[in-house]
Amino acid sequence: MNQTDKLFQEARQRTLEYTTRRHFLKECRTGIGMMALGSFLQGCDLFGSKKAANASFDVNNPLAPKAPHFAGKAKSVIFLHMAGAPSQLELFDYKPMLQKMHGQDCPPSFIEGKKFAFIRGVPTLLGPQAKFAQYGKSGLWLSDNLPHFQTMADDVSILKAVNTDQFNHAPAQLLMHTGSARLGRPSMGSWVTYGLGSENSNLPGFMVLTSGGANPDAGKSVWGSGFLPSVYQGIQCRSSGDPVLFINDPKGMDRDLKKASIDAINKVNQSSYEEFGDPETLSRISQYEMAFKMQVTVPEVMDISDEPQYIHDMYGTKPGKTAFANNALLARKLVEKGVRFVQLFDWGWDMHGTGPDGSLDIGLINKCREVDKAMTALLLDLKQRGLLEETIVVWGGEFGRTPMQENRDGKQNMWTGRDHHSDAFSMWIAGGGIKKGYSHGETDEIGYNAVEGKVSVYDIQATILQQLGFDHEKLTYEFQGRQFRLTDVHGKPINEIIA
Amino acid sequence: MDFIGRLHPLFVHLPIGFLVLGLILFWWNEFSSDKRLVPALKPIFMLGTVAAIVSVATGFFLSWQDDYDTDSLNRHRNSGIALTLLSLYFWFLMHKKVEGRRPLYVSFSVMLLLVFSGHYGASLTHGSGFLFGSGTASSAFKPLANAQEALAYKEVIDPILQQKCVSCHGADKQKGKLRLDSESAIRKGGKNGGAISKTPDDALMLTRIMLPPDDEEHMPPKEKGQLTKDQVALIDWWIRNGANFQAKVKDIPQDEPIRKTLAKLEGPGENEEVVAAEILPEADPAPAAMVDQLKKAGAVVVPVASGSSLLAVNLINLTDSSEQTWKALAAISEQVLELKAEGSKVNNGTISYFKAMKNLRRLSVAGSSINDSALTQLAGLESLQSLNLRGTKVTSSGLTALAPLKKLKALYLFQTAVDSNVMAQVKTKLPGIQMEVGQYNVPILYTDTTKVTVVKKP
Repeated sequence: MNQTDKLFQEARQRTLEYTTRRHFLKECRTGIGMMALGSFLQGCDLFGSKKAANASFDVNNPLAPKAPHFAGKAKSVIFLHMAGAPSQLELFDYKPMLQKMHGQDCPPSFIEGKKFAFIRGVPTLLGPQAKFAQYGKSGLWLSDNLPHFQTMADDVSILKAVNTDQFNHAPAQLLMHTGSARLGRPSMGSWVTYGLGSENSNLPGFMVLTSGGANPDAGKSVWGSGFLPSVYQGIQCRSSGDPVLFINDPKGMDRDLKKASIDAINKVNQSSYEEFGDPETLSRISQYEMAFKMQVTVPEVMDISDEPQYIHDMYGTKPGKTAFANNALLARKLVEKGVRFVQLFDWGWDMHGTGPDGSLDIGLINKCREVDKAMTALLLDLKQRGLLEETIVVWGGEFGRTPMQENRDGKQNMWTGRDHHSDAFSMWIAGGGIKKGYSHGETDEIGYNAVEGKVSVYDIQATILQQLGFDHEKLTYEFQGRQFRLTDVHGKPINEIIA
Repeated sequence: MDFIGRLHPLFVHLPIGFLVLGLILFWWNEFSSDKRLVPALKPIFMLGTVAAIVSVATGFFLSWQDDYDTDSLNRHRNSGIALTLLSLYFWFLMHKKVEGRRPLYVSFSVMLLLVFSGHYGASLTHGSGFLFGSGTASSAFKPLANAQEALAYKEVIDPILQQKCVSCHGADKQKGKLRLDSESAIRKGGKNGGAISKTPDDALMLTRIMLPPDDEEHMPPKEKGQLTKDQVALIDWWIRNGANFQAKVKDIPQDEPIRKTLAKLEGPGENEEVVAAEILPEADPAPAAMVDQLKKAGAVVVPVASGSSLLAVNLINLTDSSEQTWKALAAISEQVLELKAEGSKVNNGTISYFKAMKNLRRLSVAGSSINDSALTQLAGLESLQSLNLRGTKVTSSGLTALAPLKKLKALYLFQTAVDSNVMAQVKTKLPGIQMEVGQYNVPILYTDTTKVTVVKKP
């Protein structure tokens, strides 16, 4: 027997070993048993429509465009996440009373039984560190930290009483994007691409861009696919240099050869899928195919140099650098090309007052200057292209900031700064059938608690899903024996801000 | 004490189960020749009787702490006690192995009492109309003919209270000694104070409604049907304006929002807030062969909602733009609700295939080479609401061809040759259309390119 025969024999032996006696009995029990049970239960809709969402998932083409539950107003989402949590009291939530009470000790009723990330003992109240005025026909209050965004007052809805239950960055970011403060759940973009598929077959449905010098504290899990097939996870692109690392063919490998080798790998994977039926194998196949297509399409779509100069001027882009402005322009390009969910993270909004860059009168102002022009340009650019009516744009952090000056370990911080605050903060949301020039929710006189129109992070998620055409309670995926959904057991669409 | 009382709803179901099981076995023994189960009768009725005694005991505790209508309560209590005594007697008959007709008669009486005491108890808990749906629990709203002429209490407020409050604060049950089903009862208030009062801020009804849903004192309780925003607004308006029981709506001061809310009462339905789902036009299913052909040509064809025959079509991935493809698209004209045909795929010729899309709401031909003559072909798109002509060769003068499109609300003209000088004139010919010419400029401010630096060291 020569060497080759030996190999073949071993391979045959291995194949036979896959089907053991135990395997057979197990298959018999669940396989045949379930088939019989299934035929009994046909017609009695045990799980109702909740089951239907999972059934529509096509393992052979997981990114195929799909119909939502009802006709949605929006087709895509751009989520601008200011990681670190910007201070609502210097941007959107004007509190003249807080100004009057500046320097006074915080009333004990606010801090009794409360836990803060850094504040200890009795902190003093800190008045708004920015000037406010009313803008637009709607008369929304905005601060002079956002001179460009002031002109957009009649295009956005501001949520002033958003509430979260996490006061540390990583869990709060996870909650905002995955509906759970713990790791392991799919992110909003994954749910959306799972539910709607992707229109452009040459681009991923969910793309992520970061700026500000660091990834969000929660890491890549905020755009992970959790227990959904990994084909739905966000694809992170770099906004300078190669958008995706190692996307170009190495020397000596031409595109035909690349195609041939990918086809060969996929063939092996396909037979492995037929053998084991693991959907992750299919993810792998479609990822190879997507990567092959992306070699052409991604460098093209991620190249902002082909945009006319007046667009660059509008956004204030910084060619060749990693900047929020570049990412904002890219976000528009991606949505225009049919990408479903674009997630932008801009890092560096955590103004505790521990140093000048982390202070409200220096660091925050500089961060605002980095994003103000670009986010205004993004809204206007989407508007003039007719994309704003079908794109939801969301802006905000993972929580808000306290009305009190932070006193780390009981000692007043050197610079003006505020601690993490989860009870009430502001976000804005625009486009995709959202009211224009509207403010929802109110906080109390010092901006500590929500007193009216309180909404949770889950409510925002439910609203986004609703505008895309989903009943957030029915967009589910079965995992570990139960149906999971983005909003878990919470959430109610904020119908007050629907136009 | 309270705790023991609250166990009543738990225990009360045990005798029902035991006794029904016992009766079935007893009858089975009576009417069949199979006597194997006779020995089971005694223990079953013993358990049933003991459970009934425990139920009665806990029931007494419950009746002391909660406020129930005396008549209904008496009926439930008396029938419950009678049932307990009768099942005790029946157990005795089983114990003595009495033969003949008597056990049979007693068994029927036990069954009858079981049904009655059970029914009276359920009426106390769920409201007397629960079973047949005729009572207060499910009274539906009738739309008012004229909200302003209606009686504020009788026709506006009372129906809300009947729907959401009276099942616990009514004739059968008076939680917190409060009834909300008549003028005198509302004036009287409950054990914690007045439902309404001279100063609205003291009106407990209002306070309880306004508390956040998580608060323990929030009304209606979290697990019960909640008041809608409109209903809260109406109750608030009525109480703040003196809770007048006789006045007509028009005699009570109203501001603009409440006038709108009141006007909604003239409409049909339960004035619940509606979800943002749109009502879609009806259409027959699209011919499957045509849809398949379009898909094969690379078009994205998806129902706009699951189960709907209306379609959203996007030609972004189109690989085959032969005439066959366009004909397939024309064949599903009736079903297309949204169409994205952007870029080089569309021109003055191929746009003629869109002519018959009478349900089309959104059309984008952005970036295509069409010009003014193409616009005349769109005159039949009677449902069109949004038309994106960005980056096409259309001009201001060509836009007047869109005048027949009565539903058109948004028109996108960025990067076209439209002349801003004549646009004002065009706008008068196309009233009600939001025209987006774009060309926005975000000025470069001094602050955009500079940074704040440290001026002072603290």
